[in-house]
Formats: sequence, structure tokens, C-alpha cells
Amino acid sequence: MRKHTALYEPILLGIRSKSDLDQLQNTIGEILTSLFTIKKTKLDTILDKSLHKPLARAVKDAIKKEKITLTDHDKIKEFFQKLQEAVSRLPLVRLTFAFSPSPKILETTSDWAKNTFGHDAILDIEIDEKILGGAIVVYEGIYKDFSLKNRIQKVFNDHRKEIQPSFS
Amino acid sequence: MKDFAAQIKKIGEIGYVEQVLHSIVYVNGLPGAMPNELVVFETGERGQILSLTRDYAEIMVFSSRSLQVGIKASRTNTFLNIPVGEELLGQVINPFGEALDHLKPITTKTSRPVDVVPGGIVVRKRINKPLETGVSLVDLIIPLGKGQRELVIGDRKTGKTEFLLQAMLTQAKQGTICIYSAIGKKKLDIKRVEEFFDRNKIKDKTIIIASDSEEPASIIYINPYSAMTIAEYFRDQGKDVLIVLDDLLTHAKFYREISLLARRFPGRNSYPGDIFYTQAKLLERAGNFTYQKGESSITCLPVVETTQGDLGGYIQTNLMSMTDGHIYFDSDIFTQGRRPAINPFLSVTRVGRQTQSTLRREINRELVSFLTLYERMQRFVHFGAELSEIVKNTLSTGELIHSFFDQTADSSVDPRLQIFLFCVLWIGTWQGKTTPTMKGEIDIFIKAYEEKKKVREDINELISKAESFNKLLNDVRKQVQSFFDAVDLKMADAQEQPLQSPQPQANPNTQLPGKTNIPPEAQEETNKKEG
Repeated sequence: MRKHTALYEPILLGIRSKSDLDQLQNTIGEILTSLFTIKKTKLDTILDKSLHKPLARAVKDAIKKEKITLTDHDKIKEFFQKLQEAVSRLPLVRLTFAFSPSPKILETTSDWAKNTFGHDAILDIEIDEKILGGAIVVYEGIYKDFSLKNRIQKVFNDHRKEIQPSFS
Repeated sequence: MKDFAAQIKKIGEIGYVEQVLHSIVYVNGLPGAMPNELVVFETGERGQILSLTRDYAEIMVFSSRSLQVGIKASRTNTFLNIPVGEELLGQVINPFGEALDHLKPITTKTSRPVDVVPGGIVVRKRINKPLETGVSLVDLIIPLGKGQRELVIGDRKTGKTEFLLQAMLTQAKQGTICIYSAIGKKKLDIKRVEEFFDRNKIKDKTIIIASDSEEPASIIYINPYSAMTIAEYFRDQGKDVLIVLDDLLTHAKFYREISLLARRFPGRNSYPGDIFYTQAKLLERAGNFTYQKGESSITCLPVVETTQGDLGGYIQTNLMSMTDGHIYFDSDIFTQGRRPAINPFLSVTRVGRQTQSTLRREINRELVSFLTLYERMQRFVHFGAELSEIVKNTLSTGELIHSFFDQTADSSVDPRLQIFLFCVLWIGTWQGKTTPTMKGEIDIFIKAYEEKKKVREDINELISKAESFNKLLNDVRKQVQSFFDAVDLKMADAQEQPLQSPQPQANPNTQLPGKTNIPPEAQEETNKKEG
């Protein structure tokens, strides 16, 4: 389990998926590049526009908690740089399904991922109908194929002699 | 090579391309990756791991197509291997052993890793066999040995490739396997080499490993390593191999491109710090070896281009220190119309002379000392002083010798014939004759040697019987008339001319160049002018 600064914890837990992660990273990049032109209203607008509500609120709360004034560019820069660093360390679990998962399946999968890989694990879900069923899991470069296609292929490979006559 | 799906199933590790910089990509994942390991991408491209950091594997991609961020990569648990075997003979292949004509895939039984550690001192043997190039100037003055690494250096368009082709032609005819590694060459140049092999019917003894200039830097970079791997296969079969690396300056430039893209710290001329190691590791794989199948050699002729005759360039001097000598192609000599435009005074052979017979060594000494004297005398001609008869003779003999060494790109002269013709010249047979006449008669002799068995056998016998240069000169003097008759040539003109060459006979005490076989008067005159 990775340890994050308590300040960033609510923000990181607010990231639900890979797209949230990408959005947050893009937003941080945007803020850091236009640091000296940002005014209070503009920062809020950027956060509200690009992030979903709970995540935007979490970021705004963290800024408030740190008592960062928007004229203090160095502190803003430091805040977002550290946030960027913490975000880049989040574990990414890539899952490939054969179908688009329902919210219920997504929730169950998310719980499983958080229990297995850590409470801050982020899901990146891909859809590939060719795998027929089951899932392919990739975590930290390790690839595990629990798909139905793989199972069927294995059965065919192991029992080719028995299966083949029934098709001819 | 199994495809991506099979590899990922087997290895169970995956990576994702995060950054692309031309032929270098950064891949996140692949936790078990090893340096130099081969990687396959889901789009079918292959790559080699250059370095590893905590977060990324830096991969050199062997493809001209640009990869995209997000593409999946899999490890293969293998290193870069290429197919090797007799099937490659006569083919033009890319550095992965695939035929460039795409007519028929080459199927070989074995494959070998491209990157190997060079054989140690235990498997190496002293270089003891001469390597004949068929170029009289090289064979008589800058002799090479089998297993030698001789750098071919010179400005562009000075006839380096022609010389290399002549050497390969001669060697292929003697049964040596010739490998031509075209590194970043023009397609047309590669085609010309192929046509040369085809025209001279030596294709069955040659292999061209080609990577043209529009290929990605990574493919051009591995070209000489692949060529050397193929050479090592034939060496292990007990065969002698001649490998030409044309050229290593281009190779260094492409390695520099890869290194700069990979953000390596640039050193002198922006080359990376390990450029010496990279090329020395390659050249160290050549040499004379003893393996299970007996003694066999890899003779390496790397080429390097100079700018305006500058021998002091970074890569040029690096290569000079890695090789056992160099043959320098001089643009000044080229513009004078001499072919091959080799400067014998700036050329070096460190191990070639040890392979020579006593006779050849004597001839070599005589020639070098005479040419030194001739060059020195030529300088005095510019003073416009009146020259004595002896000096004039020395100069005319020098001119004849230079003409004797003039050779067209597609002609190859047998070493025994070279010696014979040199002796004919040295005894003054062609003294007083015009250069075209001498060249014409030499050509008749070359043709007769190739076509008339009797002439060939007689010359070979004469040379093989000779114990010393002096003795050989005497024998040639006695028999020259019969040889001229045998090739239907008249010696009348030559006989009318008095033998006035300053070197009618070799001096057995010859030791130092410029102090040999020179008549005391000529030497005195030179000293006076030098003084």
C-alpha cells in the first residue's frame, strides 16, 4: 500500500477511472503552464470545467486547507507539482472485458481491484469482443489472461485429437 | 520469430509505449526486461532494449514506420538472432537475414546472435597466410595477411570501393567467402556491387548485407554486426572469410544519431563516449582463429572516408588504432591519373609482411627503397637543375614502375605473375619504351597467363623455384626472350636499348629504404642536392 500525503488523499481517492486520471493530469499541466496568468475565478473555472464535481471540489478544498493565496505563484506551483507526482505514482490496473460493464459490475470490479492492488488503484477498462468472456488483467507489466477465448484455446490445444473428429 | 500474441502468452509480461523519439521509444512495464533483449510490438515491429530505468525500458525500434503512443510491447526472452547458413551465399540480404529481392524467403537451419563477445587469446593464432588482393601495388608494397584488419581510408571518389571489389574478386576466385556490408549506401551503389559479383561469376562465394541510406538508423547501425555474425558462421565451418565494412564513418554517424536521440551525453564531435568501444567490439571479432575445424580467418577491411585528405579526424584515428594498418587513397594521386590511387608512403601494414616469403620480402624492400629514392628525386626536378643520365634513368624507371602498378578496376593479377612482370621491368626490358607500349605488353602477358596453360606453368615454376630476388632476376634475364616468344611479343626494341636502369640487380645487403641498390653516383647526386 502506497502512502500519500494526507492533503492529497481525498483528491486521489476521488479519481475513479483512467479517464479521470488523464483529465486531472491534463488540468494540472494546463495550470502549471499558465501559472502567472491565473486569477482566482479562472482557476475555479478551469477545475470545474475539466474535472468532475467531487474531484474539483476535493482539489479546491485542498487549496483552501493549505491557505494558498492565488497571488503566491510559488506555492501554487509547488502544490500542483507535488499533486502531479502523487498522481503519476497511482497504480493502474488495466482490465479488458468482452462487453461494456454495467455500473454494478464496475463497482464489484473496482472493489476487487482496491482490495487486491491497494485502495488507490485505478481501473483502465478496455472492451475487446474477441476475448468472448472473462477478463485480461495487466498490473505493473504483468499480463494475466483469464479470458474465455484463452480457456477454449487451451482446451482445443490439449484435446485436439478428441475434438477434431466431431467436426469432420 | 513468434508473433506478439504468442510471446505475451509465453512470457506473461506487457509494456506500453509512452514516448516516441524517431527510432527510440520508451516503454512502461516489462518488469523482467534485460539489456539488449529483443522486444516485439503488437503492430509487428521489432526492437532491442538499449537501457533500463526504474520506470521505462528504452528501446531501439527496427522499423521505418513510426510507432504510436499506447502500442503494446512484449518481451521475447531472446536476443537479436539472424539466420546463418550456406543458403545465404549469392544473396543480397538485410541485416536480419531476409532477402531484399523478396523473390523467395531464405530458410536456414541455424541462427546466431548478432551481438557476441569476441574470441579470446586462446582461440587466436598468429597471422601466417598472405591475403592476395590481385592489386599489384598492394600485394608487392603493402601486403596483407589472412586475419588482418586493414583500414581502407581516403576521400570520397578516390577508388576505395573499386579496390575492395578487386580484392573480393581475387579472394572469391581462391575460394574465400566474401561478405560485403553496405552501411547506409545508395541503392544504386549496392546494385553496382551486386552486378560486379554477377558479371565476374563470383556470386556463389559472396553475400551482400545491405542497408540503404533511407533505412532507419537502428537498422543501419546493426548492419556490420550482422555481417560479422555471418562471417563467424563460415569461419566456424573452417573457411576463410573476407569481410568489407563500407563504411564505418557512416556507421559512427548513425550511432551518434541513436545516442543523441537517447539523450546520451555528447562528446567530441557530438559522438557518444562509447563510440570507440562500439566499433572496437566489432573489429575485434576479426582475426586468425583455431576452432574445431582447424585454422580459419576473418580478414576485415573496414572503410572510412576522410575530408580533404585529413587523416586526423576523430573516427579515422580511432579506427587506425583499432586496425593492423591502413591503405591510404590519396586524392592528389587520383588526380594525377594513377590507379589505384594508393599512397604507399602513408600506408601501413603491421602484420602483412610476416606472412610473406623471403622472395616477396626482398622485392618489397627493393621496391620501397627505390620508390623512396624516386619520390625524393622527383622533388629536385622542380628546381629545374640539369639532371645527370643516372638521375634521368631513375626517374624514367620510377615512371615505368608507377605505370606498372596502374591497374583497371576489374583486373586482377595473380601474385606470381606480379613478381614475374616486376622482374621483367626491373631488369630493364621496358627501359626506353613508352608507357602505353609497356602497358600493352603487360596486358598481353596477363591474358596469356590466364589463357595459356604452358605460360602459366612456366611462370609459376620460375617463381616457385626462386630462392632469392637476385637469383630470380638472373633466371628471368636468361629466359625473358623465351617468354616474350611464348606470348608472341617482340623484344627487338628493348634489346636495342642499353640496360641503363640504376637497379639492374638487387642489392642483397639492402636494409634501409633509399640506401639500397642505388648506384653510388645517383646517391651522391641526391645527397649533394639535399645538402
